[in-house]
Amino acid sequence: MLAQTPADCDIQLIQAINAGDLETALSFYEPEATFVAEPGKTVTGIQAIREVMAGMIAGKPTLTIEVPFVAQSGDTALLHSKWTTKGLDENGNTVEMEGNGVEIVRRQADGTWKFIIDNPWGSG
Amino acid sequence: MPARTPAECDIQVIAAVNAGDLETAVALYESGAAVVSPSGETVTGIPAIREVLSSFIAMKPTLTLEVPLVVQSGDTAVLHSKWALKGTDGDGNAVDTEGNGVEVVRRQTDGTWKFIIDNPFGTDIIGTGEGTSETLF
Repeated sequence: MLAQTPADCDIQLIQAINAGDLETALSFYEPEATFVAEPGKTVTGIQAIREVMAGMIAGKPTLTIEVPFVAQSGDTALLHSKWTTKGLDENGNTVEMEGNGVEIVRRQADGTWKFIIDNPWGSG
Repeated sequence: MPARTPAECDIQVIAAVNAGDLETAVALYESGAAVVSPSGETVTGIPAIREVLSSFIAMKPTLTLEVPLVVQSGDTAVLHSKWALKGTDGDGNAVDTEGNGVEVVRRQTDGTWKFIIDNPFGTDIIGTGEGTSETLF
């Protein structure tokens, strides 16, 4: 699956995580993309994002996402997302969270879009 | 003044708007940049950005700004800003408002940084958070 529009990056990423499909989830990131793993903790590059993403998928989350706002300038777009997640923590306890994300995506040479910066925690 | 770091885009545009210096403010935007206007519309290109910035400058504002978070990936960075504005609207009424902005900036070939997407209203634009619509003036 490829992201044909900026907002597709968010929507298809969430589908891949819900499906437990790590490789598809990672395919939506540029090689040097930056991901905010938690407030104050930023990781860069696919290898580091793979570790964080694998940890998320291990919690077998059920995520929902909406992308109510997209602002585009040429080959770059800013997404504002609203997401919810239900999953399990390391101790098997149910975790429910929601947040507002800020994502920057870039058009690739083949016309599809990928994340360059993904901050699920927004300004919080 | 060119912006030598990502956060300087925010700091210098506020300094220019406070000084009423439209040309210096506009010079901090790429030619195809997009700006979210107070009405919530996204406008693109320098002529449209000039209009938005002119309307800010017409308020003779005193803006203050902090940039508590910068996330960079290569030649692109996203800034999270907190700003406050005091000024006067078109009817002469005092305006006193604040907001959280999200700005995307890009490194230029000369090493300086410019705005490509400027959303002064951040996620408030989607009606989340508390008392959001009142912060749009």
